Amino acid sequence: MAMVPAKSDPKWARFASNFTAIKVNDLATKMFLNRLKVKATFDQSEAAKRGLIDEAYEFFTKNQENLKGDIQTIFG
Amino acid sequence: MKTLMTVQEASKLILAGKKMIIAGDENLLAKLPHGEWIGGTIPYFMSENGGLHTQEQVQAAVLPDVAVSANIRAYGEGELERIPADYASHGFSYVLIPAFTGTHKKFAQYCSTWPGVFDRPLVGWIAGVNVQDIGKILPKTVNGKNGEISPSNAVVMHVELPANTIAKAYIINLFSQSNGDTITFPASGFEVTECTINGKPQSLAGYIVSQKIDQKLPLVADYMGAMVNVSIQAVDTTGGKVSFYAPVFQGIEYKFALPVADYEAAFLEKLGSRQIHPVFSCNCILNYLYAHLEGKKTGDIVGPMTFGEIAYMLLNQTMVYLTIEPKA
Repeated sequence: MAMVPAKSDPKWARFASNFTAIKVNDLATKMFLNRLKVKATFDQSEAAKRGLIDEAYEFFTKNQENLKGDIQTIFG
Repeated sequence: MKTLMTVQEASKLILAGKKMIIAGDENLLAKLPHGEWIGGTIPYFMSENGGLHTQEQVQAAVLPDVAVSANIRAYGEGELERIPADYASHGFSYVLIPAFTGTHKKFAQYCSTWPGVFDRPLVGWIAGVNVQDIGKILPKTVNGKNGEISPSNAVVMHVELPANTIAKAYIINLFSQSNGDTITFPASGFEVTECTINGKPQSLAGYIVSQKIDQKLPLVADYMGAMVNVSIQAVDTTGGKVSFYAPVFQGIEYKFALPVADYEAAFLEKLGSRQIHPVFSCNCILNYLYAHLEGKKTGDIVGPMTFGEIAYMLLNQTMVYLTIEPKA
């Protein structure tokens, strides 16, 4: 089963820099990532990037069961 | 099973304990017995026999018996952000909101910012009225559990599903972005005057007039691959104001849509690529009116033609559907 990486995993830094280019399938993931994209448009600070990772980590961890395909696509 | 039915037929299903979402004229919804159902006013439907405007029958979507429980709750404007906290631990939520209310506006503008909103499928629609009665009769929602008919509250059915199934929300949007100008807005809202077009500040109303934009075409935004429409309600060239049926958002890039020549054919083509068996679906009154869908079909898909569709957020000119599938 696709797993959400630990927050210390370098995959999260890669996610924060390139998530807007990832093609996902589930409507919930698309809308969630769009929310992050809009936030990132307004604030590109390191603190904002950490906040974005926290939010995404929580979302994917909570919804790990239902978003297996997208988690696999994003984190491999 | 047919979805369009008389009050007597719907009452029989309610009294048999079925969990249902019911669309119809207020006078009909008011006659239904208490039970596990929620309702919204709307007299336009995509029925088994095609598009139909009727105030003589209701349209009911009956939840499959696999649904474990249905928790029905009404939410006032100030309580809407609590909806995600009330989601079932495993399932989906169905929301109905009366059009032209503070509840409608607040949901549309802020729902995507609420913590947890994307954690379960949230689908539903905006209740409306006969278009000739807009401004004369208020759209309403009904909490079937206690019979309360409300001109302002959202009503939500939070449905619990067994662990071996999964609910999924989908949209079918026939509109796509044109290759035209990129439009952004300095603030979010249902009404705008100013915007930037390819980075240059400009009046949107002036742009629509000068470019002879067909006002039946929505603005389309690309939400990470999901095309999200915002439809034009009115263009006030004197005051320079453009109003929409859903809010535009600051930070989102919009383009006007490419026209759809034949909605019925385009829908069938889109549907052909998916093998779908929705539990619920709804489509937009603007598609019904602009594409002249009365008497025409959208494949085998049936459901109310509403004043706004909800798939996590408020959509326009889009079909929303929900499936319940075996869990992989």
